[in-house]
Amino acid sequence: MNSRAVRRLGVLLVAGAAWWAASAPAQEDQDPAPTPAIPVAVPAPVAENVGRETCQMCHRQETAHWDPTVHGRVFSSEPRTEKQALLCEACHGPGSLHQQDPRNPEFIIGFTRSSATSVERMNATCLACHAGGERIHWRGSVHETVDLACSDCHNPMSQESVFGLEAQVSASQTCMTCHTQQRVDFRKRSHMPLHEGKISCTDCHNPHGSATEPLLRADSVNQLCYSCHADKRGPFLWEHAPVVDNCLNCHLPHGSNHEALLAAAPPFLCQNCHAQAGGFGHPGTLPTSGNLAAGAFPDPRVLGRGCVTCHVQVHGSNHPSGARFHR
Amino acid sequence: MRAGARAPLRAALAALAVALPGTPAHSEPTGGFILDPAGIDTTRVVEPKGMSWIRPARRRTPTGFLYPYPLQPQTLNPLGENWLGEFSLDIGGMGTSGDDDEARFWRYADWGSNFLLRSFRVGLLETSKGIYTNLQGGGVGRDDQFYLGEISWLGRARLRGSFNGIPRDYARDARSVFTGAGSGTLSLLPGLTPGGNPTEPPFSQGSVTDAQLVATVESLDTSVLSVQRNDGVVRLDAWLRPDTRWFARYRSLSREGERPFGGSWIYPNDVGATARAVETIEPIEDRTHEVSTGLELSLPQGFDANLVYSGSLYRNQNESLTWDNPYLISGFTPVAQRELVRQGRFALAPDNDAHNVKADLAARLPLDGRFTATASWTRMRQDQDLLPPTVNSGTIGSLNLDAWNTAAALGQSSADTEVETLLLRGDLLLRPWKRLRIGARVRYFDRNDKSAYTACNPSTGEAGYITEDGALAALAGVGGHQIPTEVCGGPAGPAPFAEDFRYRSTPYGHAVLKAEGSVDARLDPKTQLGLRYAWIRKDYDHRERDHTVDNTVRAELSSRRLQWATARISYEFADRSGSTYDYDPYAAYYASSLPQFTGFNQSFTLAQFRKYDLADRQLNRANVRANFLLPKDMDLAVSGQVRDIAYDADYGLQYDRGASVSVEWNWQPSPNLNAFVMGAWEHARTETRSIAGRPGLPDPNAGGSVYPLQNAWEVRNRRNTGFATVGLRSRILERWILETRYGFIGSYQKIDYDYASASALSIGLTPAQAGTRFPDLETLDHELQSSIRFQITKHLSVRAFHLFRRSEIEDFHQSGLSDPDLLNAMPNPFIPGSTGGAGTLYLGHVDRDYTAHVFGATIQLRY
Repeated sequence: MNSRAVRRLGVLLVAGAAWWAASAPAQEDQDPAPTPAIPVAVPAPVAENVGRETCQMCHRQETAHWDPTVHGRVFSSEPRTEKQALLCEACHGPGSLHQQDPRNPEFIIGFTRSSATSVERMNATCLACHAGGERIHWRGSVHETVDLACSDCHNPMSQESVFGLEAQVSASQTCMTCHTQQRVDFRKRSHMPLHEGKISCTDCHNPHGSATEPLLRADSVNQLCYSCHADKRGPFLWEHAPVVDNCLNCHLPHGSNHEALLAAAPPFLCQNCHAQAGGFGHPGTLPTSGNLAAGAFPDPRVLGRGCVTCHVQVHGSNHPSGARFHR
Repeated sequence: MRAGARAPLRAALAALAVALPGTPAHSEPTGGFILDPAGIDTTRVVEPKGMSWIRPARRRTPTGFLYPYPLQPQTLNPLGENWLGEFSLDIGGMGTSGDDDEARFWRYADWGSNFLLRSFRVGLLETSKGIYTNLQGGGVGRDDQFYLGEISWLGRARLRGSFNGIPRDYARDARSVFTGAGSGTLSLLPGLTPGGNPTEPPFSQGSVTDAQLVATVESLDTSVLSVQRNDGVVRLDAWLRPDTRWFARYRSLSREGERPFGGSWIYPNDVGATARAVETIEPIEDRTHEVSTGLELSLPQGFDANLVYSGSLYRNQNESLTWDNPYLISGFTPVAQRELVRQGRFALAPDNDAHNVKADLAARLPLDGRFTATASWTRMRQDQDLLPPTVNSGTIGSLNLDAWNTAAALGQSSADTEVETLLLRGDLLLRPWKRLRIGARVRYFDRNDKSAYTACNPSTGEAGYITEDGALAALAGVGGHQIPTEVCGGPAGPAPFAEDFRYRSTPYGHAVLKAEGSVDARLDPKTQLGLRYAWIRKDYDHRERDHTVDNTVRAELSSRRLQWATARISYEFADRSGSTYDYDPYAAYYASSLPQFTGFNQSFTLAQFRKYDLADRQLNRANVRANFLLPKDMDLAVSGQVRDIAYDADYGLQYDRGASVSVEWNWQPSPNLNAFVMGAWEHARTETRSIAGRPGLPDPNAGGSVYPLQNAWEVRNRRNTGFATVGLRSRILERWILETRYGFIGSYQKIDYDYASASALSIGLTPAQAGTRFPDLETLDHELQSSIRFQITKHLSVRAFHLFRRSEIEDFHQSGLSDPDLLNAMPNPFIPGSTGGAGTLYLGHVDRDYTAHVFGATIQLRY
């Protein structure tokens, strides 16, 4: 599919969906009232608090799951605020109307698909306690602008993950509910050890927003990579321009069909930039199957790790004789 | 904008950054291992009663995915006065069979056949003081063990820690002619002479020392090359007030082991002589200490602030790696001189420090507005003592190595390199109308390399260095990369050597300024349309372009309007242009810029070639994600992406195109049954064009003397990847739980090429020998996991598990690497009739097909 076709498809998809959304009649499950301009985490005005015991009369199973969560423990035994002391109603709002008419979703703040609460109000309820910190860049972040709710990723009602009250058993599994492409990447020949439990999506990305795209936990891609690969940080005596510019010039961060997360097979990855004529005809000549180990003229550029067999310090050299990254 | 012009701006902005009160760049602790990737308590199973008895309908996320049925609650049981607790243990043994000695099987996992403590957990709550403690872990005693711990003074403070062991096998079939693997010195095995194998040309396969070397390699036992990474974190959080949190964090990341490394003695093909490349073994023994502390403030008035300091100190136990040369460098100097190239030496990763101060501020504004600002400043520095330019001694041709193998040959004793980065960002959001939000964002990032290194030898007054510890001198009989110049205290005058080379470092830097405007329109309460435009200017120091400019337009739509579906669609178009492309921006750092240089200025590269990170390009990308809320507690999710990146380049990368699609179905009719199926496919293709240049007159243009069109070539790369997984969890007869999961991933990659004539190929290669394509790159992995669990009592159960893996791989890069005869038989195109001697010496590691089984059984205790 060429550029023009992709462009047409993209424009058609977004414009068509927008036209449909703008013109189609409202569905039954829409919010009964427009979302308030400034979302405020307050319940319906006439409702009153009824207390946990009343909630538990119907929701005993829910509270059994909620009690051992961090919210359950803190709210029950060491509440930091008056609101936390309200327990269930700290998040769901006063429950008296809900108690009178449990089938009316407008009478309780809900956090699921079937609730009448808007996503903005759901999130405002959570942010009433969780604003700032990790979430300081939430407003305007990509997840916020596509209408993601806190409860899309978190399930405060049950302790599934060790930390973070994720909706799935881990942050990574939660992310992959939507990001299926990455699930495939992490299964490729070389990959970050995510499926082995050694790294999490949230080690590199802050899903709550960041000052660096795409939701990175550092000021730049390289500075993020250096946090685990400080041996590549240098600064070296001899630097390699695309390396200091962006690790992703050569590496795919999640997984690759090539060794070392390389974006393309060596030596072609290098030849996407290098066509110099010097150095005995390399690197500009075309490597072919005749240069394989069993070929007529074996060539280290296509054997093993390729060019980096000789240019072994490709990330930068600290040797006075390392200008070509050989030492 | 060049570095000098940005200096005042940097200074002013850096001052601003440290004056402002960073986002804590740390996630929740991570832990897990291959048999428990999520790091959870493996004795927990899905609660048969589900989440609720009052709600018949299943709960779904606002996007519409089913929440999984919850695991059994971690209810604490009374232990004594004021104490509640819960304990669990999953303990047994495991073993493997089949081809279980393949490095890929062991990558990031320890499959050792022995005792298995799959998971344990201790949870305690002291009720009178509100102190909660949790400690859990898995894989205890194994290389991939992990631990997660927490002590929480509920509502006041929290201490969390984690430890993660990460084994990484690189090879389990390495055969090395060196002793000392893992140390800073690799010595040849007894019987092999450093710098002395083979003796004299002709370098035929029958040469005694070649054969001796091959025999030595073949007689070696295989060894394992692996690196153990241990990652430990401790973090203390204290709530000074409900709205103020202070934290301090320490992380220790250590690595120990060995991994394949390289090594070269001049380029071993097209050279006209039998120079060599050697795979060596890099010693890994280092530790990174990371400390950070910060304050987070969140006031009810809508004012939030973070202030964070982070420091990272990297310490390497091996500053260098010295290795014996297993070969004799062949060339035109007498053997006695060439034998002087006995060793090579690398400088390994230097000790280095990084410090960062980061501040974030956010304030509520009228019109439901919000302003967020970030300032972050980082200094990265290292001052490692420098190694002399060579480790060898003696005189080769005109080169006296003794003048270059001491600290006196260094113009500076240590590296003294430093890079500063600065990030400034401001983000303004306003909602002038109820259903419309507008945004404006400015982001500035600057990388300033303050380093300056000139390769000078004050004892000889020469600029330059020793190429590969004297190998070039041994080959050519002349010095190589050394030029007397007054720049380094030497005499002015004509250069004795015309070759151009880089004699001083290039301080690469860049600055990125991004301005973005956005409009988010709420078309209805459940539909949002976002439009954004971004202008991005990137200024480079010492690159082919002074600057590039990207204009990006993005539209995205998210809708939950339909009761039965959610759709998220986006389309992005980006156009990059920029200043004039200078194919040789590095001239000032090369010897040809010195006044004494009398040689001719060789073409640096092909003038019409465009490096893809700087080339003009157009990007089109469309994404679709949709999920459907099917009846009977089923989910269906579909996603797809197409992308096209077209580069405006006569030579270089031409395009990068791809498409992917995935479909996932998930069924959770009850707590006792869950089934899922997922399939995905992706396609990608690229094309690169180039011209094989031959050193010669300074004509950089395509069609000129250096880059004649008959040397033109192009290569196409097409890759297809298929992925599928299917799983089932079922509770049978109340007490039995069966879980099984099968996964498959297969990748096929075709690389074919065209060329105008044989002169595009390696010297001496004919079209018949070159062919038109490489053998396909293929990987095919199957994995089947099964387990069955029997609940004996409320507190006791047993579980048996099995894992099957089958992996097939074809990688032309590795074909033949394990055959030392073959590698030493590489012919030398410049020696008529040559059948060997121009070879390379590899460690012999090859990824192989394997089939392996893992069996195990555990007893699960839970209280």
